[in-house]
Amino acid sequence: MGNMRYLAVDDDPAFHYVLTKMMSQLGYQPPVCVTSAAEALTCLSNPHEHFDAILLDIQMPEMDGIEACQHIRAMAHHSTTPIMMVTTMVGRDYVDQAFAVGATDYLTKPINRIELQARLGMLDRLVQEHNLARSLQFAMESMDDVPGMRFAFEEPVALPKCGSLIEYLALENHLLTLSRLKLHSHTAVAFQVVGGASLFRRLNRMEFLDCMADVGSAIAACMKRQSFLLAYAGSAEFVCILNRSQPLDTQEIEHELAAELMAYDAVYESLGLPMLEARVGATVHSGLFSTSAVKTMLGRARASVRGQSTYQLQFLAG
Amino acid sequence: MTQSADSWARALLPQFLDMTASRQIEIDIERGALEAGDDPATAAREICKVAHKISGTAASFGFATLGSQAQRVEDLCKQVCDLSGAAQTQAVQQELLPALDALGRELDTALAGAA
Repeated sequence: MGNMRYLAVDDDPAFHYVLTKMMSQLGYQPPVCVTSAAEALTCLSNPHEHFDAILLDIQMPEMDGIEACQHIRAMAHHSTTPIMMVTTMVGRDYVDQAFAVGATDYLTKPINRIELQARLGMLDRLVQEHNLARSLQFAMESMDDVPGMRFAFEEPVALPKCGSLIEYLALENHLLTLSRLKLHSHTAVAFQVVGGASLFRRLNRMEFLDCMADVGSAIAACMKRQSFLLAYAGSAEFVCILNRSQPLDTQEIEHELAAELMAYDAVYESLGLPMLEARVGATVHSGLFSTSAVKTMLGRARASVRGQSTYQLQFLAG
Repeated sequence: MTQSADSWARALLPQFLDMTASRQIEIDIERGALEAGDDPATAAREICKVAHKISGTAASFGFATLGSQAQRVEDLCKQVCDLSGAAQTQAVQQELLPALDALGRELDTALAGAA
């Protein structure tokens, strides 16, 4: 973590003091601090400047953090750079908008050391995942396996070349920001690649990730009629979060998905790989009074897809 | 400053208080505009920005009450901006101005304690 380079964007110099001191105490490099979104965008568009992660204040004069986040995500070299939004309790209403435009996580002001340590630790893990994904991408493009690249079947690795997906950690973080009532208005549904474990054993890591990226793109194509958040959850499974007010016909989606995946049949056949097939689980929502609502909701969605092809029942998680 | 505040916060306290003193002046100027009642929404928006900054860092320097009062002012300013006419005037008189008084007292305490 000592080598991680952070950009901190906040119009308040007092916050820069606090952040710099706390990060130094935690063993991080002092962040590069700028006081406006415009200055941050200039910094980030400079190809000679490298940043591993960005801390971005939401409420700033002129361009706010949400608009800045959109601009940063539009930069090809920062499309996956972790962005942690920073806001006061009063500004928490904006967090939803920030996640919708690509934020990874958020931190509440005034910051305390324990929370900052936990959040930066999460960003460290994401940066490591991105580095792994980039290495795999590079290896894939050079058609060369890298024996050193290892990850377990269960790991929710970031998929290369799959723009519609967000990281699983970011999906969890987003759901954790929702109030219990808001969470209740969301639905989770999981997708599982049939024979995923066997594919993992049979293929090298890069081929496996390529397969998962193809499935992820196909799922995203099927879900495009509604707003959704989709993440690869590991174990050849995907989790999708939807608004509960838009009912999902899981059987229809399963059929559409089969049709989308058929587009890959010729390529997979020519490579001697099995045809891709995926099943869809039941839609699951969180109980109003459940504990550990987020983990439970995602866990139940994944459990349902492991059980059978299409559930007709609507599970109530928690 | 509370005893639980870190030593680095003590070292940075003079800078924080300098900024706080400037912010108190900014709030006082906008408060005048608010009391004049010409354009309460614009004054509330400006106060909101200053209060937002105070609420973001005051607790880190050991001034938790100042931080929470600034947060309350920030919240009230947003409410005032969303209102109009008599409802806005009422919110300014009955909610925002008393909250600004309380914030002013907290700012005075912070600045006096450090003097």
